[in-house]
Amino acid sequence: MRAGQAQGDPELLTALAGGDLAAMRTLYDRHAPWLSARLTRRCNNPDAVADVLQDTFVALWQGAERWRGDGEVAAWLWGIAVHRLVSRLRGRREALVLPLEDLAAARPPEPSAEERVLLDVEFGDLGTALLRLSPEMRAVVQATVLDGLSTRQAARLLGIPANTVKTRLHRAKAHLRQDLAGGFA
Amino acid sequence: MTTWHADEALLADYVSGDADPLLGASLEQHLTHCAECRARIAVHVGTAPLEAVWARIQDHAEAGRPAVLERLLVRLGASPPDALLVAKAPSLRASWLFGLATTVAFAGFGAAWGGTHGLALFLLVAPLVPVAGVAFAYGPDVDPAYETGLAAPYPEARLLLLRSAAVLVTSLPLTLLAGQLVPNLSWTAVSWLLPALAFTAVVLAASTWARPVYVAVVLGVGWVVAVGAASWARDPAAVLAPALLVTYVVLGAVAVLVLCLRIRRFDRLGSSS
Repeated sequence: MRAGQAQGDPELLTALAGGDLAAMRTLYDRHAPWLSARLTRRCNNPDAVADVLQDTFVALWQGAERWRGDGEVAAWLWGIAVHRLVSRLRGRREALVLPLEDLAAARPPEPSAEERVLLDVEFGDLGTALLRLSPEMRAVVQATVLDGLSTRQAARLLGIPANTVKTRLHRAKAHLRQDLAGGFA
Repeated sequence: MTTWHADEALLADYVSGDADPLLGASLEQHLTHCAECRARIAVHVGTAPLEAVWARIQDHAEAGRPAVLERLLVRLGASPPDALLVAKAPSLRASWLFGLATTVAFAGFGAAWGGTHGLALFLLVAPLVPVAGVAFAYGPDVDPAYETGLAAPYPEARLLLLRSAAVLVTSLPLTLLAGQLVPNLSWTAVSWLLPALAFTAVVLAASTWARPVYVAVVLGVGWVVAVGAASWARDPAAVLAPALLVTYVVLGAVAVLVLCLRIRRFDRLGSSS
């Protein structure tokens, strides 16, 4: 077991801001695996994923003091990583058109509701509705709603024009609304 | 805290990309908030690529954080190696820039309130500022990384030119600003640029034969004598007479031409090739 294994992420970030490389190693061990898995689901180029992972932790090393101290460190790291991915992909078509995201889980009201949300999305009306979207629309919903990217960033990630992102998101919402309304009726 | 946790099969499917899109998306949300599942997913992710990435991160971290100037250059579009090398120039250090600002400020205030002598001081200092900066940007006398640079597979001409450009960008605006303090002589406030640029070009061109610092010293002494003689004759601005300005332009043009012709041929600055 490494030193500092028992420390929480925020404490490790504080240590890291003070130049503690061991603290960063612990953070890396905790977060690199899931970050790399999640990035791989958005970009099928292992080199690009490795670069983005490196950039993310180098950025962390250089700017750990920018951590505001609230919320999940994991969410913050993902924010850095997905933005790095977008700038890494700049115009190149390496991104996968990917699975969808669940609208309801995008802003979970509180952690304790997660289980319900997961199950609801999987088996509920929303899940069914989402599955009915075309893969292109789902990719847009995922990038904008769940990964929190702006229209322009999502466009870059997916390699499509920004206006297309807007149109697809608009249509996706309309589809979902219609499906759900139909389901309840 | 939630009591739901992803099972091993889901984690394995997710990592291999086989997870159902909905479940995968839900898992991602769960992972953001669940340290336990984050720890468990690590088992399914190959460690070799992660260790390779860690080695690169460690290299970065141990190399230290880049200096402010270096980060600025990278933001402006320079490549990281270029930025590192340019930022290491002695005449781009904070102490140099601070000294430069002080000197130029004194010269400017001298020109504003010091009458003829003040003007002479400004004319003395202003054109030599970029010359000194360029001379102290590269070379065996001033650059602590000079030998390292020689051994590196990096064209020295490129380094010299990049650093010179950076020096001009930092020093000229400061000096121009101070020049605004020169009273009643709006033309003098700008026309010193001609000898400044000409001398800078001469230093660069001559650095393909001799050490830049020596060239700069020779030019500096010449300039001091010229300004001294002019102010002895009670008109320091005479060094910027129209006929002389033309001379500076010609001198600069010749120097640039020589530099263009020579720069590809020298393999080591400061020694004849």
